[in-house]
Amino acid sequence: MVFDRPALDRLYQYAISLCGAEADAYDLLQSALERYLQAQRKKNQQIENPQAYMRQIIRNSFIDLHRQQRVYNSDEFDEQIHTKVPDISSHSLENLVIEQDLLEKIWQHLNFNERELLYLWGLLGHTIDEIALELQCPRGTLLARIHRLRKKLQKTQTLGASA
Amino acid sequence: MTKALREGVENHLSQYQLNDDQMQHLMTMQEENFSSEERPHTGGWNIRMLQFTSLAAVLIIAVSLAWPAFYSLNNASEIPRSIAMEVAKNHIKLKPLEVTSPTLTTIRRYFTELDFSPVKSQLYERRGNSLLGARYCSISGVSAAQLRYKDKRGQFQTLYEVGYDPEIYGSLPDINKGETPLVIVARGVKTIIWIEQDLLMVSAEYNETEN
Repeated sequence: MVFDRPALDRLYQYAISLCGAEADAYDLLQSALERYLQAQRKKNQQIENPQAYMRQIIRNSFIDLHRQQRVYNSDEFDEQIHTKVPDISSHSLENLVIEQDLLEKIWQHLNFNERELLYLWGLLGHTIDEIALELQCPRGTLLARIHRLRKKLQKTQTLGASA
Repeated sequence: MTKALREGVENHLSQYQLNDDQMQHLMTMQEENFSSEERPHTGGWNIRMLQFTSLAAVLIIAVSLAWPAFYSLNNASEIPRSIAMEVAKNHIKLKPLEVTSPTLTTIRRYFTELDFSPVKSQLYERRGNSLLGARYCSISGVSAAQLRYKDKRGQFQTLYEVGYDPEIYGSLPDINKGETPLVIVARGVKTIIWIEQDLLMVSAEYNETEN
């Protein structure tokens, strides 16, 4: 057995981070597992780092699905690489504290890139360099993403406090 | 309660867990794959492998000699088969409906992302099934509408509609030209494929032979 129960739950949570809906997340996970098992049969050997491989399949399927449904927005995927990246790091997230209720509320309003970043950083404990490597994404893009995410979270907290 | 962001993310995501049925299904998928991989080889394996290799060599030579004719024939018949396989797979999964309504007008309003409008099929309507709802799906990578019906026996049937592009789907029978729909059974599901009103339509239902 490649994926035990906790591993499958982790992957399911990754799929939810991307698509936001539980039914869609299960569909993504199920078809990704099917593809994974097919790939394993073809290669006839153990796949190195099965969890990362599965996340890659889930991510690709999610992007394909969005392209098909024509809600794909290349800006959302490509981000503003040319924006000036401020001097920040993942530490700016480490220092952040948030009300649990507020996080629950804001979660659905984050885009999938931001939710994915939080999953990889928050749940799996990846560093920015590890995330950049896994997502094949420039480090600068990730730092800009963190900067926007931090601002978004802080703005929501300010609004929440003044309400 | 105020928490570090990392802890908040962990708490938030940990509330999502697969239910028992979903978990069981995914475990079974892996077990089946594992058991087919681990099937032990019997004593005569080497001899059978040799026979297989010889047979494969003969087949390769035969196929390469007959390739031009074989290719065109095979390519033409492969498309409907792959459509049937894809549709049958979707029919078996029976994913949740995204819109529920017994009227096509409501369902049509839901599909804003398609480049065609789902229509009432003259051929399919003859069956007198009740419309339950619909969801987005795709056929050969093109966005499609999946309409779900219930037949008189209470069984689910699905009707797929997608814009017909001959370059993607090849030549298929057009009932408006008096041509007969294709019937293909895939994965135990009976699929019927036809063109109507410039749309590719595929119906799917479990293939139950009458006694």
